[in-house]
Amino acid sequence: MHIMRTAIFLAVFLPIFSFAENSTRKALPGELRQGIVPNFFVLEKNGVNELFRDDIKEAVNKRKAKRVVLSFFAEGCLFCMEEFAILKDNKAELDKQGVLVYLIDAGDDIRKKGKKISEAVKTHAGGLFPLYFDPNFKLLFDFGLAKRGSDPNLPLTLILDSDLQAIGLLEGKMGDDFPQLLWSEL
Amino acid sequence: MKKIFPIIVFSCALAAFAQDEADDSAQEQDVVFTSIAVLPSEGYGFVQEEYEKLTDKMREAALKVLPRETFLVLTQDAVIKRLGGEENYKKQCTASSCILALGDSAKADFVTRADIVRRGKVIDLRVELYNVKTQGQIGILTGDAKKFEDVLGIVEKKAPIDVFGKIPGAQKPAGSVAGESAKISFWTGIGLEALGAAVMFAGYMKHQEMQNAHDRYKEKESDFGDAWDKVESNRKTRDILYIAGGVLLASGIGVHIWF
Repeated sequence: MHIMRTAIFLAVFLPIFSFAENSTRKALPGELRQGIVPNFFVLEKNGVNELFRDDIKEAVNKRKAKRVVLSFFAEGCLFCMEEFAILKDNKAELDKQGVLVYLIDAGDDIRKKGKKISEAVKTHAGGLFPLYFDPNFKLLFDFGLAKRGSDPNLPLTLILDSDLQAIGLLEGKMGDDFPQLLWSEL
Repeated sequence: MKKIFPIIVFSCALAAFAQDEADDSAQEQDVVFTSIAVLPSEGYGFVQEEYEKLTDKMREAALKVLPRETFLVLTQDAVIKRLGGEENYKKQCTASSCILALGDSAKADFVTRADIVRRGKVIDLRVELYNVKTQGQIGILTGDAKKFEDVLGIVEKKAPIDVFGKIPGAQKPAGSVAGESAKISFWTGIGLEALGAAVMFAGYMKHQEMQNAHDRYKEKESDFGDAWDKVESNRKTRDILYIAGGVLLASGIGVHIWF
């Protein structure tokens, strides 16, 4: 009987545990399957300075980057903060492999929460990655990553190649396969 | 040993100054600007140059009342760039109901646009201002004129108050009726205070005269009745002047506080 219980336990929970170790991949929405990602811009924490898609392209060319990671998060999202820690721990490897990471807060009011969010990012990500804001979810809407009227599941990690074409989308906290999955075939 | 104390004090002062500077610098970095997108003017019956003049006039009106320390009126180029460039912007809707959508696309906090339409000999002007986040209209200006220059005049005169003045944190325009009124109140207050001070000083002088008269009365330098009358007369005048001066001074201060 005891062996039977153990077997059932292993049969039910082991797959869950082993599944949880990997990042959850999502299919790319139609908006991201048409070559280069749609034109976009995000804001710096002062609420006015912008980072355009072309600025990222310029940075990719300048640093000869191979991958770009857009990590979407929101204030109060615990998994997002855990994800920052993963990014921070892998900073050296990400630099070595030519990965540019941009942290993008989605949907939060910069004026009300900007300072708090900046501090949280500094604490959890060590201030190692640039932080930007998409206050009205506009970018997520344009990318087909969220629908109007419903909040997106965060964190979302969008992986782009050096031509800024979307090659992968992860939902939820990154798994043990991160960051290797960035340069392995997605 | 005696030299150590000033050195410590100087070091502490220096450290405090450095900390203040660092705090100021951090505060500067923490400033979150409120952005305003003045969309290119729309309508019909006018040439491109006239629409551009109207847009420029709108921007001027915004800059009159929005302090630059906390507000940023996006440049025309910035607005167009945020909306995906000239071509893309033109593809997007131009109807009045689309102002909000454009403001949302431009990620601005407030969005406004002036529309002008020529109807026969009359030009209709309509300016709307929206809060992008709440999607609420917070300012509106309508008017009509016979000449395009008159439309610019309406915008110049009224937009700072009726449109941009509705944005929380906007200042009163200098030279406006409100601004003139504030100036008048200020100088009225100063005038009342000066007058009050002068009257109180006159009261003080009367007080001195009263004391002299009282001294003379005590020394019996003059006849008894007249000396005392002088003391009483000076005292009354002094009291009246003190009260009047006090009232005037308080009125002046009141004007400063309430107006």
